Amino acid sequence: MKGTYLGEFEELVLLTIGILGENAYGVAIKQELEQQSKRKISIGAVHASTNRLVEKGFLEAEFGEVTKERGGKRKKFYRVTLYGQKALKAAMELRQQMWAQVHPGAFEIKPVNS
Amino acid sequence: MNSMPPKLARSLLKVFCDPSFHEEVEGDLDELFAYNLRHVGKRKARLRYWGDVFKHFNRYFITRRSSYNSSQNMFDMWTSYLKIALRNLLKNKRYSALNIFGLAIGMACAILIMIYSLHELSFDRFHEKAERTYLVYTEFAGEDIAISSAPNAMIPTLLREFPEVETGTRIFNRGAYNPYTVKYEEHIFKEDRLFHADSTFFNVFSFELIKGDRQKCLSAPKSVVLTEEMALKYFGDADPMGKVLRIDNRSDYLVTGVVENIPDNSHFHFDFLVSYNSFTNPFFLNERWDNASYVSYIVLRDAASAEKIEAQLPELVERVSEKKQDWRFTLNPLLEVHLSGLGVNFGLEAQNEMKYLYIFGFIGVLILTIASINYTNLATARAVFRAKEIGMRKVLGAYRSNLFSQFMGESLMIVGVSVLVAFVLALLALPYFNDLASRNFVAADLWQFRTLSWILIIAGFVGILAGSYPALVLSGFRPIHVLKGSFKNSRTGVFMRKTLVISQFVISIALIIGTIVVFKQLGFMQQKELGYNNDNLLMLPLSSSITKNYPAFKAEMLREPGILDVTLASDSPTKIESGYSITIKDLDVEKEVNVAGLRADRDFLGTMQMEVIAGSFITEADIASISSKIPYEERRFAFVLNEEALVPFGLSPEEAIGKRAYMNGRNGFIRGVVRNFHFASLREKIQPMAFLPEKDFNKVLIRISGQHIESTLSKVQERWRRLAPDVPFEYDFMDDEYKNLYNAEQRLSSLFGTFALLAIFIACVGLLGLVSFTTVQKAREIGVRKVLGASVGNLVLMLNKGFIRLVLLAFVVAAPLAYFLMRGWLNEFEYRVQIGFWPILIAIGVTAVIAFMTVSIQSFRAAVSNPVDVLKEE
Repeated sequence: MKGTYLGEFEELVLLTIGILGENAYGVAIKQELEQQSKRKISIGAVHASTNRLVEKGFLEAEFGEVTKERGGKRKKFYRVTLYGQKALKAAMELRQQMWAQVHPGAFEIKPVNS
Repeated sequence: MNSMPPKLARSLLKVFCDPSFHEEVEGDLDELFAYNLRHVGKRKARLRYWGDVFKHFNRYFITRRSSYNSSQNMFDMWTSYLKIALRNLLKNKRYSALNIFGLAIGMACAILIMIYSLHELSFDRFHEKAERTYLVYTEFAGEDIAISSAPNAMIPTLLREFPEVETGTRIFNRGAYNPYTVKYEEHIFKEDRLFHADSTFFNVFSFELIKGDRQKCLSAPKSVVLTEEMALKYFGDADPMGKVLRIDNRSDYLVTGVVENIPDNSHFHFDFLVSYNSFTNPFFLNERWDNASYVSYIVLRDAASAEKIEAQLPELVERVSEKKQDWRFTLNPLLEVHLSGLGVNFGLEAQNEMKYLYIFGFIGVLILTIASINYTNLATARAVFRAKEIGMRKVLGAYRSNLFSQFMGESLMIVGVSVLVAFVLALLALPYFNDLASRNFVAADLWQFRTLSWILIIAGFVGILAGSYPALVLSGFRPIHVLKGSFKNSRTGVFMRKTLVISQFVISIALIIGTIVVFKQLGFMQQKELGYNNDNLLMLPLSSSITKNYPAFKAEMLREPGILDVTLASDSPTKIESGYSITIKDLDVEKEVNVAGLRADRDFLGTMQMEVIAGSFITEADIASISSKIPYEERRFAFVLNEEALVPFGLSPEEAIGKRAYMNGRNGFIRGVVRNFHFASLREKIQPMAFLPEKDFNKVLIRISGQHIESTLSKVQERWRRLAPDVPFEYDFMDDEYKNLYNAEQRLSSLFGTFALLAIFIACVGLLGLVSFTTVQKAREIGVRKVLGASVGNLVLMLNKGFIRLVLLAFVVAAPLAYFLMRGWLNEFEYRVQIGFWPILIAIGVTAVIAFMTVSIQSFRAAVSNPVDVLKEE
């Protein structure tokens, strides 16, 4: 496996999948992410990211039912693996830990919750 | 249905996207498209779809089919393929043998042609300074001939004037027709590969010296360097250094060096090199510009300066020679000398031409194609027998790509075996091939890394060429058809195979027609009336001992009844090398005409049995009138011209007689006109030529009677030994000399013949294989027909008909093709045969008979078989 490093965009994708829960497939992820982040995101970028996350073991994927929409093509639903969740948590903790140590006089803006 | 995503983009995605992602990606894109269609309109939606497709062209989505192969155990799979392939080979031993043998013959040809081509391309590359070495050519104004030599002043002048010239050397060769007599103690031989060379010779060329000093061995006058081979010939095991050779019975030369034998891929070969300053005659020593007899090589410090020097040459030469020059000098790279087709004059052996390499290579590719077609044909014909296996594999989950690589692998395996056989065949054929190509290849030439890697490339090429079509066809079978048992060879497959067989026979028939035409032209050239009689005519080199006492020598020779005539001439009548220009005076037209000049004795015409059509040949009185006692200005030369020489002046032979003429400093008149005769190859039109009465001869020509040639020859030899003990009795028959003019054609004809034979053989092997499969397929039909009363003859005819039709069809294509190609070849000859119908008729006859016999072997066997055997299993 390629390294377990979690990129910024990957982190967002993982979180979006968490938000979407049962309904996390390509188009839904793209739209949710666009809404949340207020920026344009291409479906290609989402696909590349999910593929890579599957390869890294952060995501697992499963095809849905064949339905009439989408010309009979199945949706591919993603779920964050336990490993993925751990990686997310580690990333969050790392940030919090570092925010906590920021020198009081260095930033004018303070972290939201502290 | 206009609300569909762009079709092209969709199929593009399908081609590029890895199948394992394709469904998801396409689904998501379609959904987005539908969404965009509602929100941003059709045009934008389509545009975005395209954009999204392109954004998927990255390493995550582009086809990665191998990724699921790697999850299987490929090693086991390949072992299974190998096992099946071997079983199939062994099950059909005859088929396998045909296949392997056919391919092997084709590849053996290709291997031989390849080592030949590599060898030809390697000429002169072993010289360290080869890239910077140039040969000076001289072009004469008004004639488009370039000769590979220059005035003797050229090299010294270039060395003085151009700092860019590092070094250079002249080589002077008296000519193969005028050999030296070299003597050491009791060893005495005629040597024609003895050149005079400058002391810088070994600075230009990297020939290895075994003994002696590279710098000094050619510095002192009367030094000689000889090859290992010559050292052995003259001195045996003794050390040659410091020994003394007597050359031409005149002066002694000290051996100062021994050089390794000259490699085959050198454009010239010498046996002896004599230091240039051994010449004592100022004719050679003074720097002169009025001659071009010295083969001149220069080495530049930088190859880039060649053009500059060439451009400055005309001006330089005029300045140095203090004379207007109408000769042009060019520098030609040493590495191109061998294949340029310009040739090397002055007896430094014949060179090759790129053209012949192309012909060779083309024929090689043709043979290889025929062999590959064979394989393709046999393999696809056999598809029927593999159909069930393919169906089963597919049902069990094999992808088409798996099957493709299986059959490709099988082809490569068979090609691999064939290449080994081909290697052995090539080794066995080497002596014959050497004969054909007049080269000296040895087994070791095949074992070189470069050769072997080329052989691998050829094998890979054949494997892919021959294997891809069967692999494509076989892997494309539909399992449901083949397993149901209703499978037959497809119509397109049969069509394809027929086309392939036809193209094989097109090549074979064209080669046969080519062979016959080349043979016909060769026969024509050898039998043509030349204007003189070259039967039973001997030519020998002349030496001073004969010249000194020629009347006595001639009288003594003529006493032998087998000797009919003896005469002297300056050159061989098949190869007149000297050129003059003649002007006829007292005419309205004032013209200079270039003529070939032959100095001949007065009885030359009688001995050669030529015909005078006006005036007479050179007489005794003509020779006397230019004797050395008369002052030069008062001499009157009697010229005898051929008919052709009169044409530019518009004179009839009768009018020409007695006209005053002038030829390169000689005042004279026209004594007679002889009927045109061929003094060069029939490739060229007869040129103007003139006989001169001067007594400066190099050849003795002896006409002997045609009876008891053996005993006459031994008597001639006996007399010769007595009268000219210093000259070995080494004679040439004039008719052989003449035939030697056509060595290239001779070689081409044997080349064509051999390859035509091979081509037809391989094509027939293919045919045989094909017929045997057809008869197996038609076994039941044959059985039923037989039961219903068909005779063996009927059946054979029925089976043969289809194949003979193919051969006839091939003929229709091949005949015009060969006709036009060969007409182009014949156009190189000024005197040529018509192609006519015979070569074409013979070719079709031969091919049809051979093909018919081949097919019949198999069809007859099928036709006489017992119908019960095939009909009982139903």
